[in-house]
Amino acid sequence: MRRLVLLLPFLLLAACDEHDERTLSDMQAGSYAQASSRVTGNDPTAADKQLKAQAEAMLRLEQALAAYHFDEAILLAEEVMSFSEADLQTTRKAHAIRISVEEMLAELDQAEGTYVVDHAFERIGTETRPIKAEGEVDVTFSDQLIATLAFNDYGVSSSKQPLQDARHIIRFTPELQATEPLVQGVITYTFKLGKLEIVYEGPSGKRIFQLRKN
Amino acid sequence: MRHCKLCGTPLGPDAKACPHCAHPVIKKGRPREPRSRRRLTSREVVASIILFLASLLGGWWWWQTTIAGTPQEEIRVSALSRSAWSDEEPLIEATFSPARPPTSYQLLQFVRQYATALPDTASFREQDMLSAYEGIQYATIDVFLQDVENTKALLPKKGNPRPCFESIDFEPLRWDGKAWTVRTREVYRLKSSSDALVRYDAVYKIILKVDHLQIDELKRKEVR
Repeated sequence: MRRLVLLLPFLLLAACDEHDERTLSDMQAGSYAQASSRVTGNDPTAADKQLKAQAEAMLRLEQALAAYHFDEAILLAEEVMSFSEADLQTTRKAHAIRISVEEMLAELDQAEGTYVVDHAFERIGTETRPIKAEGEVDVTFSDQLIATLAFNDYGVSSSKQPLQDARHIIRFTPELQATEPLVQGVITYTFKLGKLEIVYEGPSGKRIFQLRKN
Repeated sequence: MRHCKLCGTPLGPDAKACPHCAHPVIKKGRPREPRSRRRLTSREVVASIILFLASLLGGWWWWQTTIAGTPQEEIRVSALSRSAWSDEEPLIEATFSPARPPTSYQLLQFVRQYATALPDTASFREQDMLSAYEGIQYATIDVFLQDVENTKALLPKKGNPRPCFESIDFEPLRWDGKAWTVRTREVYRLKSSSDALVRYDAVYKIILKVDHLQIDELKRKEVR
């Protein structure tokens, strides 16, 4: 009986709160696919069940982030952070993702709006000269960093081509840059410090439009 | 009669030091009588169990109310850097090892980067340099040629620009012990007057070959 009493604390501690070591090490290595695919024993502890549920939620969060579904990513980050008996490192990573996504959404909010042409240049070879350009661009972002750019009376004033009234749907990168191919050349869009820069690059040179927020 | 251990002078019964050399006399304690082994009573056993459980519960309660109960906002965490989740760094060039396998997010990035470059892959023609396309991301050249065949809808019509990658959605990433399976829905925008969309359901099987990620198998189906 006395031996049993001496062993009791160890037995209780052993049965108490030990996570599955392999699942935990997968999670700490960021391998959530491995962690969530692991088969738990016949009688997994509550802590193991929570750990696996957290790994699955983290995987869903990463999928939402990789697809740039930002609103969904915030909800999933909160779900990952809500597990009480969980891996602290995963919880912190979800928190870091949530902060990063919130910053991204704030930047997208700032980038949205109407921009007017401020300056325009033409660069042929090493020579750069200003050109007279005009027009407005309305920018709105939807999910997955897809922007709609509506051009209103936009273009080079002295050009023989008519001013542009068009609507383009363009996917941006998280750095708020986008590239759109032309038949010969490419258009690059960059949002920076409240300004939008549109660069047309073709065989004859570059045209750079700098737009400021109205 | 006792004697001094140092000089052998006889000592008195209550002597604390040798009268001759002043060496201190240490009294030998009486050997302790062996304690009679007493069995614990059942009441004592129950009391010790209750005491132990109470201390365990107390510890748990303290942990819950102090460490675990700390709101997440109070833990200092900084934002994940944007380059860690964007496509700033190409995963094709990243090296791994069985001891340091790719993270699940890196696998998703790898597939996203492949999907982004798909309009280039689709435009491969036999006269092109195969080496420029085979790269390191395909386990076999057949996988590459099959994907070129399956993405004919992305070939730009004459006088139109190259199509653009628009979006990608992921199904749960799976690991079977040897390879990762990534299921996606990919959308591309044709840059023509109609700006139509092309959608694909794709299944990638990815392996870690020596130190690089490779697409071992790729099934692609256009979804109308």
